[in-house]
Amino acid sequence: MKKNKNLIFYKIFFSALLFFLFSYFSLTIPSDYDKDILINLRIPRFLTLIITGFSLSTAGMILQLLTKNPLADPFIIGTSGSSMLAIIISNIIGLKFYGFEYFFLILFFSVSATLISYRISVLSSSQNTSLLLSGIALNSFVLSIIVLFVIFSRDATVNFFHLSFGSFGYNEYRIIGYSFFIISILFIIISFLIEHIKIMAFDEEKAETLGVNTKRLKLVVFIIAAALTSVSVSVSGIIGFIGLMIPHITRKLFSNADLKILFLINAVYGAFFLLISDLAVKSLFYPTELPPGVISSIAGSVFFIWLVLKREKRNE
Amino acid sequence: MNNFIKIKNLFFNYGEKKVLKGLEAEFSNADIVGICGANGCGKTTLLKIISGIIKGYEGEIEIFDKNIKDYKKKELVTLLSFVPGEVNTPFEFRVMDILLMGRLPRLNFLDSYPETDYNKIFDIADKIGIRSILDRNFNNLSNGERQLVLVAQALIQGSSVILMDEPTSHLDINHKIKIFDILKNETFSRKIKVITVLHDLKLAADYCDEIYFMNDGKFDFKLKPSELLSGCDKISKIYSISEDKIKRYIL
Repeated sequence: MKKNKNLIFYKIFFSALLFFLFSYFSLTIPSDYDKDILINLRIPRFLTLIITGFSLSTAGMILQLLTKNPLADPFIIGTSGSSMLAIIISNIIGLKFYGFEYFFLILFFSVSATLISYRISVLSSSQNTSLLLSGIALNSFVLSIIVLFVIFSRDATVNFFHLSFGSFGYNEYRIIGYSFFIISILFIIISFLIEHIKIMAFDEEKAETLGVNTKRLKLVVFIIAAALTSVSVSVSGIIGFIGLMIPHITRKLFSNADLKILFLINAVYGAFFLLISDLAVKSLFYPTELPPGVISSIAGSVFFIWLVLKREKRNE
Repeated sequence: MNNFIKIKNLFFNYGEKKVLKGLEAEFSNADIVGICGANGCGKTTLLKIISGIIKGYEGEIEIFDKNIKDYKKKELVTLLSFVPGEVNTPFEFRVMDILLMGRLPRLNFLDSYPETDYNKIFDIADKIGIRSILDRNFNNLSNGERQLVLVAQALIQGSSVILMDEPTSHLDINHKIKIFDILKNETFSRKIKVITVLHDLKLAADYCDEIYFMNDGKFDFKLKPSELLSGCDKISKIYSISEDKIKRYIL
C-alpha cells in the first residue's frame, strides 16, 4: 500500500505541474501583452473556466456515485437544461443577474429537474437506462419551452446561443467571487458527506444498516449537484459532458486513491480539461473564438459512445 | 432470558402483492436462528424489515424488549448488522475499504478511522482467511470470496445481532463450516445473536439452535435440529416435495 501512495503522490505532482504550465500559456497566448486585457479579460476567463470545471466535474462525480450509474452527468439527466430555462425566464422577468432571487430561481429549477429525473428513473426496472431516458425527455421538454420563449421574446434570443454552448466571455469579478464562495461552501458540505457517499456507491442497503439516512443523503446530494450546475451554467452557459468524462478519467488514473482525495483531484481535472480545450481552441483557430461547449460536446459524445459500447461488450 | 427479538402481527405488501401476512415470532432461547422456506416466500423481505431497510410495514417488532421504532438510528446500527446475499457495484472498491465501512457507526464526526479499527480488521481477516485479498478489487473476486468479505464486514461492525441473507450459498464446504464455526464462537465469546436465512438444511441442522419454516407469509412451525427428521412431513409440505426425498436429503 505504501508503494501505491507514492505513485499517487507522483501523479498528483505531475498533474499539478502540467496544470500550472497550461495556465501560464492560457494567460499569455496570444502574446499581445496588455495589462488591461490580462486583468479584464484573460484572468476572469481563466477563473470562470476553473469555476465551471470544478463544479461540473464534482457534480458529475457525486451523481454517479450516488445513483451507482456511471453514465450520470448533470447535462445528460437534464439539470443543465433546466438551469438554462431558468436563466432565460429570469432574464425575461428582469431579475438582477446573480442577485439572491436569480440564484434561488435557478436552483429551484435545477433541483426540481434533477429530482423529477431521478423519480422517473426509480419507478422503472432498469434504473441506469431510465435515468438517461428521463434526462432525454426532460431536455426535450425544456428545449421546446426555451424555443417558445425565444420566438416570443427578443431578450431571450440574445442569450440563447451564448447559453447553449457556453462562453467564457466577460464576467465581473464580483460574480466570480460569489461563485467561488458558493462552490467552497458546497465543497465543504461534500467533504462531510464523503464517507456516506462512498458507502452508498457500494450498496444502498448496507448504507442504511450502517447508519446512513439514505433518503436524506440522496436529497442533499441532488441539491448540491444541482447547485453546482446552477453556478456553472450561470457563469458560462451549458458545457456538456464534463460531469460524465472527468470522473471516469480520474477514477481510471487514480484507482487506488481514497475518495476524499479523489474528489479534489477530480475537480482540478475538470478545470484542467477546460483549460486545455480553451488553449487548443485559441491556438488552432485564432482569431475565431469557438464556444467551449462545442469541444466538450464533441469529445464528450465520442467518449459517451465509447463508454456505452464498452459496457455492452462487458455484458455479452 | 428476555426476548432478543419479538415480532407481532407483521404485515407487508409489495404494491398489490401480499408478502407477509401476520407473521409472529419470539426468538429468545436460540443463539443462532435459521429461517427456511421456499424461494420467494418472503424471507429476505423479513430480514430487511427487521434491519430497518424496509420501513412501510404494519405490526410490532421489538429487539431486546424495545420497539425498533423507539430506537435512535445510531443505537440501532450498533445493535444490528445485515449481510446481504450479494452486492453489485460498478465502481472499484478495495476489500480493505469495504471492511472499514463496517466501522462507520462508531466513527465520530470529523474523525478518520482510528488505528484500532485497522487492527480489528486484520484480526477478523485472519480468522476468516481473507488477509491475502485485502488489497484486491471487490469486483474481481470470486463469488465465494465476495461473500467472505460481506460476512467479515458485518463482523467488523461489532453488533449484538447479525442478520444474514444466505451468507454461504457460494462457499465451498470448508468455508461454509469456517464461517459458521466463527459465528458459533462469537455467540459464546461476545454473546451475539445470529439470524440467518438458509437453504442448506444440513448446515442449519449442525449450527442453528432453532429453525423456523416460513410459508404463506407466516412462520408455519419451528424445529430444533434434533426434531428435523420427525418433522419431515411438515417440511415436505412447505417445499412441495415428497417426504422421502427430504428424509434422504437430510440424512
